[in-house]
Amino acid sequence: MKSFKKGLSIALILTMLITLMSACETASKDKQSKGKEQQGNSDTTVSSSEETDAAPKPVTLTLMKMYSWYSNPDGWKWGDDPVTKKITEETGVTIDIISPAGDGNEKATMMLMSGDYPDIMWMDRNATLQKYIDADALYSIDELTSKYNCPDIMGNYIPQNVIDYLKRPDGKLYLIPNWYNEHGELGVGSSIMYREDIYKELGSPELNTLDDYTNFLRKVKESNITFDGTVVSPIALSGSFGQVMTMGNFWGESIANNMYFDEATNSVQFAMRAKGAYESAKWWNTLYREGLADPENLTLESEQVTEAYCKGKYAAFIGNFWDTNDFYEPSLELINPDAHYISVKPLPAVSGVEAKFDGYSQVGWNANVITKNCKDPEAAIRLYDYLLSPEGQRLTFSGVEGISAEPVNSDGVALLKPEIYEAARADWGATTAKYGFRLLDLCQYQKYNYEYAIETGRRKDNRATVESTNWDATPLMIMQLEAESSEGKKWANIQGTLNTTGLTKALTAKTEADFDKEYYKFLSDLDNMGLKDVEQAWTKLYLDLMSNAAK
Amino acid sequence: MKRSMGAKIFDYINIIILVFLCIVTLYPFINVAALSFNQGTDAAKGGIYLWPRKFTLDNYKQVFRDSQILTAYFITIARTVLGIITSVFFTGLLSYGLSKKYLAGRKVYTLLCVFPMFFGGGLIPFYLLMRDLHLINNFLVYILPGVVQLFNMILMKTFFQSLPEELEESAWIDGASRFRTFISIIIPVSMPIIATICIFVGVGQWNSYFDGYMYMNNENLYPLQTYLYKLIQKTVISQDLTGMESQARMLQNVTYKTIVSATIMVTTLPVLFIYSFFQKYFTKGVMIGSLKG
Repeated sequence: MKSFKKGLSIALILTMLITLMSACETASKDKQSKGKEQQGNSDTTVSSSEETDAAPKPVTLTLMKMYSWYSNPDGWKWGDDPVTKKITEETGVTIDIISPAGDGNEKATMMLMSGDYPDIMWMDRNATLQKYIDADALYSIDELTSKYNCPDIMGNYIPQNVIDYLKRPDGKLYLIPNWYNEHGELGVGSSIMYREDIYKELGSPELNTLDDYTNFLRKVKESNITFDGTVVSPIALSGSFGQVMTMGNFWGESIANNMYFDEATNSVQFAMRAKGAYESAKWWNTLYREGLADPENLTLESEQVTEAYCKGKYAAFIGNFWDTNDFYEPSLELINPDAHYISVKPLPAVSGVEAKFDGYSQVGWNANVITKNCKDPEAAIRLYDYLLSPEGQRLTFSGVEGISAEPVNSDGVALLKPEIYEAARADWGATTAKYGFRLLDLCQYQKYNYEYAIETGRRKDNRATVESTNWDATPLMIMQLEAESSEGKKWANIQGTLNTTGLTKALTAKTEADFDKEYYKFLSDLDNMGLKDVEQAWTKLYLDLMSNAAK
Repeated sequence: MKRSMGAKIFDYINIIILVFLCIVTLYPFINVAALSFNQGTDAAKGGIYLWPRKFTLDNYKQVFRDSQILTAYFITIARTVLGIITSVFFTGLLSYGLSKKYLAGRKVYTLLCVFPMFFGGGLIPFYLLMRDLHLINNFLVYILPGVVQLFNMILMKTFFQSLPEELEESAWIDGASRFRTFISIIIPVSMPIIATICIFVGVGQWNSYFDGYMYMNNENLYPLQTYLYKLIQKTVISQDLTGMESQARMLQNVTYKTIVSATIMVTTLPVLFIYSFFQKYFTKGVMIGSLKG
């Protein structure tokens, strides 16, 4: 009996192991045959399209927007609205739009590992996208456009300078950009601002230089102004490393994305090495030492910071102007209708310098990629050929003419009808789902964006002020180190330190001598973390980028 | 019997500590409830503690205006009910079998069950397995992988081992099969452990977010927690977007903070109500594993 039980146990274990092994082999065979089947399908598709060039054949493609915040409007499906209906009429393509519920990059990596990615993906231009390119998982756009005769995409619908910035070292373009632009329209927000009600109460002093602004902050402190029972502080001490560095541009630098190109050494350097960045940090330290910059801001969560601004705690603000217009002012105006923030142009810190703030990137925000799992790459590229065309752009921005859009104006832009605009302001989700405009936002060219024309009041004025000193920082903004490279890992560590510790010790130093000591000690610590290697890698990337762009 | 001074002091200190713990536990929940009923733009100024300053139901309207949330509720209820039934049944079957000392290969089976509790293949192999079993974008991905949970199996096995064999023998004498004995005799007397497992599985299924995120692309199959995570993400990102959408949101007088608060209330309250009904079984069940070896 005992030996029978032992024998039975061994037999059971062996059976389980054999089942396990055969399951693995079956799975691997399935995967190979699936790959061959897809290859066969795409070959069939190519040959059938070459045979007949007639009306577009209907096809459904899956497009995954790799962002957890995206979801289709409630109850909407493709074809319900005039815009998606028109797209299907013109191209034959129906799009099934899906999105992950959590981190898009994690999901994209998982899909790449399993080979289970959709036909088209809409994703950030980051390390994950690079992994897809390196894994040969994406079609190159130039190959698809030449193979399927879509000559307008490269160089016409997408400007050549944008293509030059985005193509890979192999000379190919693997993505279609989104929100690309010519002069940074509607993309830059950093501004130096003041509260108009307090400014007027203090006699509307001159604000032509950074010294004038500092004097305004001093007046706020001396005046002991209160707002709804809260004592107003001049300004919150900036906890953002990037913002402090970029303010070095008030001293004539050209810093963007925590770096700048040093013409003297023909190399890309970390922002802290620029004299302007040092002066900017020193200016913030001066504000701190004079009690003008509230250090409590450094210890608050972002929600608490918003609360403080909504209570009216600060007379000045340096940050994105739309934060004040959209999030702080509605609460402030409940107390005083005149409590709002006004932008000023970047203030020169020294005479003879042309001050600027944030630079813009021409290549926009994210990207569309056509994967090698795409069941019909010809249909996909023809879809984008239509969406990128002037007609497609106006359709996706404003909807169908006569339904939600006005006729095209002299700028080539179709505005929204006034009643549609008001309906959208009252209920964005329902209105865009009904009329289809701004529903997809896949590959938008800012040239066709009507928001300039419809923005009014302070928001319009603030935007005009901010964009008046826009500058092209595209090469610096788009550079990205390989995440798996040694320099990439060093930079990731350094960024972690910038995001947590940052310049806090230097900004809150008690004396100028202490500031200098902390500032240069921090820089030295970053050098010990491999910053110089990172700068070398940046320089190579930058010079390659400029050389590619010149070809 | 007269209590000593020391005992009384101990009692007072005990009461103070417990009241403090009670306040610390209850206050965040009350604060979230207060925020959920407050106007967004007013809440942005802070200062809301125990009750709303400007009462509104707008936040709940914003959460429920999305009919997708009702679909998500249905999916969560379905997975919770099906998950409980299947998990209790199959875990019970496995535990019942393993509780019999005379089962051939018992030690091997037990080892095979315990080993994966400590060592796993990792996320990517598990994803590949789900894909190969055609469970990606399939409702069954919420049920099948969790049908037998090994910790629950150990609890049930321990409980079954404590039951007198005479109960089963009396059924066998009357001609009942093993399966019939399990259904008609063992399950009815095992209500405490079954209720405990129901709570463990039910709460796990209700709160589950990761499987919806990882294995589902179809929004109509998202469970509640996954969908609400997306809803919160959507509200947060509109703070970062320029243009008309963020302005539209401010006109609707809701903010990220108040939406999140309403969301938390919507997801937490059902579990709170159900738990209060099952509490006595849960308390009994937690002690079961510790009493018997």
